Amino acid sequence: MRRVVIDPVTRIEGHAKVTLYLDDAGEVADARFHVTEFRGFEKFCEGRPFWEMPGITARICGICPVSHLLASAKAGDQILGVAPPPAAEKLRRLMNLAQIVQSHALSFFHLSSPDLLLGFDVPAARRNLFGVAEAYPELARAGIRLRQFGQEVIAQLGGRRIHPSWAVPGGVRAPLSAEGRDAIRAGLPEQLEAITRTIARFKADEARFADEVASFGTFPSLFLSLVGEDGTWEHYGGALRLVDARGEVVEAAIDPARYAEYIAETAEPWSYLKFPYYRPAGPVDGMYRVGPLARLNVCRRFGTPLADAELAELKTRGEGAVLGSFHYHYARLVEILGCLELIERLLDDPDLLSTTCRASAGVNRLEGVGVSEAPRGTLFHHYEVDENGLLTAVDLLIATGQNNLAMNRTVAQVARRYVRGGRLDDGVLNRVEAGIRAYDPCLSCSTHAIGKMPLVVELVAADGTAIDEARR
Amino acid sequence: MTGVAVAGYGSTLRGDDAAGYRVARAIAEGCASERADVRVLVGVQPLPEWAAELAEADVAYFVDAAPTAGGAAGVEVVELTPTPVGGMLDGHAASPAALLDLARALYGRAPRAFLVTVPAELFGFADDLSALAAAGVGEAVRLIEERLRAGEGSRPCA
Repeated sequence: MRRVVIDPVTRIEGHAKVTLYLDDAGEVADARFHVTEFRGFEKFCEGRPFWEMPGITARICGICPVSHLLASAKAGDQILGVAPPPAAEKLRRLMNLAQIVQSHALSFFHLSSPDLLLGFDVPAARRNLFGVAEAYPELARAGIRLRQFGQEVIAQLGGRRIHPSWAVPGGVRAPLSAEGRDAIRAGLPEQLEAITRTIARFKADEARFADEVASFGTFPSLFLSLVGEDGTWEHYGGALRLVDARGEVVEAAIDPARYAEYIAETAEPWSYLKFPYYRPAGPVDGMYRVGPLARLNVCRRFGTPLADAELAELKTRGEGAVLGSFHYHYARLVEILGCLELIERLLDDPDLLSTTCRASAGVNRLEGVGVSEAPRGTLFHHYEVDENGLLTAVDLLIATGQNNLAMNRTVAQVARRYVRGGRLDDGVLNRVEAGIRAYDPCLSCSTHAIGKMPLVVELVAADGTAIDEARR
Repeated sequence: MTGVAVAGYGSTLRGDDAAGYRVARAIAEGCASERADVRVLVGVQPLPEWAAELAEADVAYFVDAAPTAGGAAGVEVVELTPTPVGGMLDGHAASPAALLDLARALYGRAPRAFLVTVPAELFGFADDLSALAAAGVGEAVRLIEERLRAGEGSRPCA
């Protein structure tokens, strides 16, 4: 068997490499997406007070610190044995919606739009954000403004754009001011107009990518996300729901605190990223996807008029569930639209400006599970503490890890479609990267590295010798 | 126009790498707190979305830590020019020159800009600065505030 290595993978959050194994005929037989960074938060947080965890785990990621902040605070709520005041939950929801907007804007406009707007075969030196700025300045400005808007909402609530130490066990540290609410409201019309225009542009170009739609992770799998009681899209509360490739419900309402009964994790020696799967189905049939496409496959309705219209159109991309991971891009845009609508609705809530936003208590339970929907998918923080609140065990189940099996399968599918004659060229490299990027993986989050996010692709022959390598 | 943008960046968990960040925070709490025409940007690294705010400024200061090779270097100020960098610009981080070029490409203008570097020597896991970098932070804050008092932006600091 021969082997191809792509190292490093670019325009993702973290550092990775891809190895493609060829058979004797030079065709791709297998592929591995290796995550080569290690962070170790689960281990070094042991012994810390659980009160510190929102602040510590928010440092896992500079893109989605809010996600860790909220999941950690929710786990802390359970250890305290309290329900945060209504204003606290609504303010946390507002921050998470803003987080999804700004992270999805980064993913679509800054990381993926060079591929989608300029094309996969444009040289890498031009296929970047600057190339988009030259060719489509209006869309590039829209991306910048959407990301700024999301960050400004986060700053209005938490006092800063990145790593706000705001959500805490029992609630949030500070309420929202009327001036802050009004500033958020004033920014909404421009963002709604920008995302509506972007969706129209994306759909107009979608037909150009029929080949990529067919080969970028198009296979049956399960899909997991939080969902509301009536099947409405959810990002903070609700229950876990699992649907299959036909869109039929496999698990209707899993209590998030019991996630470990349904999700098992394995590890492989060639990657620091864990391989979670749906326990009852085993590691092969139990592969599931999380993130925007999963959330929109799981929910029946978004719950807002504009996003519901787009959701109905997205669902026509599949029979039952939408299976192609290329559609993660469209799903991200639909979620930006829906999150903006939900922000607009929340701003009218009379509870929002309440100054009662934190419940006080000591350690009342020795275990807590906090679950929320991060931009990239369902995020679990599971803590066990002693009677003094010092952590004795920490499990962080991150969205990117839950997509690990699907990402590996996607790399293999893309490679089988595009690698010919045992050689690597830019077109192959670009598409392998883009296949991974559709999931918007955050390796810094899911391996607990300091590092950038460079891809190495290595091509390995049937006898184990490396015959080609491409590196960025 | 906001007048002046001060953009300081670096990791606060990596010792002296935080020098630029700390300079910007000091400006935000000092001179910029009195002036609506001074906009302070802070982050772990320069971000593409800063281009929109830079395009609204007349003058910009980027403040970063600069590793020394054991020499007793001081704070240095170098004027920047917008530079087309192509593949050097990705979605996460951008060089100051690339950000200026992005501002010009997207918004039709870029400020006159300077890179202020603070000498630094320790980049391990730490949340405090070496004596060298701490002295440099103070010097850089004084230098930028002097320039602001000298009339950059619409009015001088009190």
